[in-house]
Amino acid sequence: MAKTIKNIKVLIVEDDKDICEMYAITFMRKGFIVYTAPDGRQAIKKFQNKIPDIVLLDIMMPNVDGYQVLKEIRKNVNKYTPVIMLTNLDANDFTREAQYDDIDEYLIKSHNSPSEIVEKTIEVLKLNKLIVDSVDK
Amino acid sequence: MHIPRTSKRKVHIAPKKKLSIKLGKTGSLKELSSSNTVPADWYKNMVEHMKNGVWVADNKLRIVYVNPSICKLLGYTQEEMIGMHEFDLWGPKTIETVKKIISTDRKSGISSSYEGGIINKSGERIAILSHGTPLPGGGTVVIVTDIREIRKKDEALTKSEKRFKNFANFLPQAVFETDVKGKFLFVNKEAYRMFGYSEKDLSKDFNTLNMITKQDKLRSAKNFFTLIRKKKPVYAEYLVQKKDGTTFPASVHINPILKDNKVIGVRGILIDITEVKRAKESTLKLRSATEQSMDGVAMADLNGKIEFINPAWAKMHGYKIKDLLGKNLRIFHTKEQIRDEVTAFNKIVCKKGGNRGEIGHVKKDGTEFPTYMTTTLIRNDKSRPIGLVGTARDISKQKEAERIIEKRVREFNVLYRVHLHTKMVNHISKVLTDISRAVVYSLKFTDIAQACIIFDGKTYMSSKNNHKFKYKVEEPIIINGKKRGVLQVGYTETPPKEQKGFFWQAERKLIETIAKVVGRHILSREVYERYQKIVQKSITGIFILDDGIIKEANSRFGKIFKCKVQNVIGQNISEFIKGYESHVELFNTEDTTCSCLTNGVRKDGKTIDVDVVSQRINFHGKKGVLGRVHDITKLKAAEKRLHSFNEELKEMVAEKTRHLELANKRLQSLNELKDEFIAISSHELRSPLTSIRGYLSFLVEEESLKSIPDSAQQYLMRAYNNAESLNYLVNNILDVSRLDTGRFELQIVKYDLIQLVQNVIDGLSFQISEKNLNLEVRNLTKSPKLPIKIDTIRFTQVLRNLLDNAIKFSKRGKSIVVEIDITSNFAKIKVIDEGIGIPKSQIENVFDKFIQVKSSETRFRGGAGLGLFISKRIIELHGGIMKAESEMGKGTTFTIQLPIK
Repeated sequence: MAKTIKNIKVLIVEDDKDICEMYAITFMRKGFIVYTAPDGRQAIKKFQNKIPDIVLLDIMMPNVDGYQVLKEIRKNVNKYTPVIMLTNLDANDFTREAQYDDIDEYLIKSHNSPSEIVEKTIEVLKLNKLIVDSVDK
Repeated sequence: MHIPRTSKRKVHIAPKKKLSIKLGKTGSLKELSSSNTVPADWYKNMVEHMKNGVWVADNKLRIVYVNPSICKLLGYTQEEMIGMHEFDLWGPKTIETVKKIISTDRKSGISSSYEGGIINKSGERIAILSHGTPLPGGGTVVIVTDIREIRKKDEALTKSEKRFKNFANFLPQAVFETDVKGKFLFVNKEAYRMFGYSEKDLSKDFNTLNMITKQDKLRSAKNFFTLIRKKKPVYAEYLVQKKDGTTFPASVHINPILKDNKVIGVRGILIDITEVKRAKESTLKLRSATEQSMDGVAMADLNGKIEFINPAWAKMHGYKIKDLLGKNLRIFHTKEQIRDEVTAFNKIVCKKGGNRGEIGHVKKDGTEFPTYMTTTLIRNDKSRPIGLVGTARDISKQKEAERIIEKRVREFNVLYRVHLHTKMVNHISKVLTDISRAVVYSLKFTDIAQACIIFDGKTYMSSKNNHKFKYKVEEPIIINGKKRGVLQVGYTETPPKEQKGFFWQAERKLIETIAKVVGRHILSREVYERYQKIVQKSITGIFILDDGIIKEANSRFGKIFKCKVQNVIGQNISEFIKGYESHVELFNTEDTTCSCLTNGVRKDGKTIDVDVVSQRINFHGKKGVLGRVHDITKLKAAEKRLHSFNEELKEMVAEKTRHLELANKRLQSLNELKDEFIAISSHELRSPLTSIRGYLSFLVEEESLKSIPDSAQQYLMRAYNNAESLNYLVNNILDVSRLDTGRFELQIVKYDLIQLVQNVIDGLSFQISEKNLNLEVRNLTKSPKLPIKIDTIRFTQVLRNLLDNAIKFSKRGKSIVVEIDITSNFAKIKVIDEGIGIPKSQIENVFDKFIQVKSSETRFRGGAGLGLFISKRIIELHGGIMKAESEMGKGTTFTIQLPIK
């Protein structure tokens, strides 16, 4: 069920409004369908309602943090949804709470520009065979 | 040897040859008769005149013819005899013989001879030898010869033989006869006795050789055959053998028995010469013993005329044997000697039959010498004295030796006395005075002798009155090669003059020896005193035990136990040292030094701590113990104080440790807080930066830039670049903080290194092309892939940092090379640039924190100088090495080595 970018639903979970908007704009410019969530609780809700193809997940958020969201996402055994951790926490801090095996990519926000984030996301999608190479071009 | 003959001898004549000879006459008779050349009367005459008696009998043994001789022999007339039966003539015994002959020989026509008896007319028996010849037509011619005369001779012979035998049997020697083969024909009784054989033994095939021992057998056989060949008597001595195997020497004299000039046997005499030999040998021995004797031996008659003298005697007196025989014994003594000694000596000899003692002798040249004489009277069977025998021994050397020994004994006596005085317990002045008194006896004339020892400036005299020496011998007393004194011995008056000076060589030697002894004694006395001092002054208590009893102890021992040393000796050690016996038993079996810490009891009742070291020693041949005692009471007290101090210290340390632990806990929590702080601060720092960079990135995209005025574009770019720098700086500071706290963790995954390098280079393509640099990747691994375990993000950071630097410090158009190589253990990545380089003075510091090479060219390049520090630490966390090499103005090479495994 390969899709083109246009059909891909991205859920961006980010508590910083500015950053969230920034990524949303970037993804939308590329043609993704973008859903955003300002905290973990809403993220879980949106994940259940909208059924995104991929989730970009921050860790440090009010109410429910990224780890819990990841756990919730991974509870669904029927469908595997790729998750990219998009955070400013170092990987060391992450591995204290969660496992690399549960996620598809770990990106540090300040290391990558928004367009780079999109590129990496597309790579993950390709790896999960959610989009076809040729469609990208 | 004669075998006794039987009176009736029957001789069988060998049939053919002898018969033909005997029949020669008849044979020729026949021939004559047949030839008819001889008249018949010739035979008749011959027969009629024959001396032998002849008769002819017909086959019925009736006599048909007799000749006159037979008639005369028998006393018959011819007429009377004719018609008689032959058996009427034969003696009764002979008839038996004749009958036999008739039945055998005559039947077969053989003539036969036999001895027998014939009866004459008056009935007397006449011994005859008859010869009967059967006639061809039957009948017999018998020729009879009177052998009475021969018989008589025979008997005489037999008689003489018997006499000889008897004679032989009574001889004390063995007498024998043998045939030529050595077989015994006759042996006398003595021979049987001598050899232990019986007649039976010899009757067998017994040979004379059996009686001779092996070693003489061949010789005897030779002699025997010589005798037979040369027909001469042989005399020899053999060792012969009895029947029981014992042997004895014998002299054997054998003569040949001749018959018709031919040897038919041997006659011999054998004499046992055992006694003779023995006597001979003992005589020889005695003679040689006498001649070999070291002592002079002489024999003389009662008048003193010398009959025998041995070489020793002659030599002793300087004569030759031949000069002495027949001389008188007096020549061996001087007149004085005879008067003073010899006469008295000889009187006792006459009285008691012998005497011994010292007697002076004189030599031929007149020198006198002492001898030890033994003289004995020789008596004959009737115990009448017939002579004198004397032995003399020259004892002049013995006398001389005795004199020397006497002198030696005196010397030894002096030496012994000197040694006797060398006693450590005595004071040196007493010792030296005693010695000087003893030395006096070393001189011959003791009465006027005086001795003196001068030692260390002091004089020790033998006598209280100090006389002056007239003659003296002086010997230095040398101790350890140093002359410390002198020993003087001499005479205060002139002594009677000896042959060689006043002092003998031996005396000088003795005095020298005494000086040496004195020297040695003083040396050992000094050594002893030194050691005594060491022992007595020692700060260690020393004692020697014999079976638990103190035999020796030094003054320190007394001091330790607060008592006098005299009171210590003889006491049991256990009164001083507690539990010492068990300690000694412990090392009784071991032969080593043994030490123990125990308590001692002082005589004032106080208990002290002692350290005892014990050792097994040989104490006057017995097993003893040498012990050393230290009073360690004070030491123990100090130790106790130290111990308590130690305890206090331990408590203090424990308290401090508790404090430290608390502080540590606080620190730990603080650290945790710090971690949290870093995590949060990194997040909080990064969030606004992310926003700034993100939005700025929107603006710097080409499409957005176009809508912005040029001046604003410039501002925007600067803001963007500075945001980038800030981001970089923040990340680096966070990394350094993590590295410093050791919280920097790697996320190791397996990845292709070549791909990783390529990815980094791809990300830098913009900057490279912007500066128009020539970047080359050289893969020297000969393989398109190089899998390695690595933290990809961090390695990317390192390589990016290096390449950023390379780009930053390279001028336009220069080239940068990234070289990938592999060794057996490491993957090697080199980044080579042709940049400005690093000065040698600073190359060692490039990896330090906050370091940036300071020079006018680099000042404007920016950065906090953390990149290389972080890079090096990342590589090291991988277990790798990072190095930098550079040449100013030519470029820099950074080398990274990463372990493959």
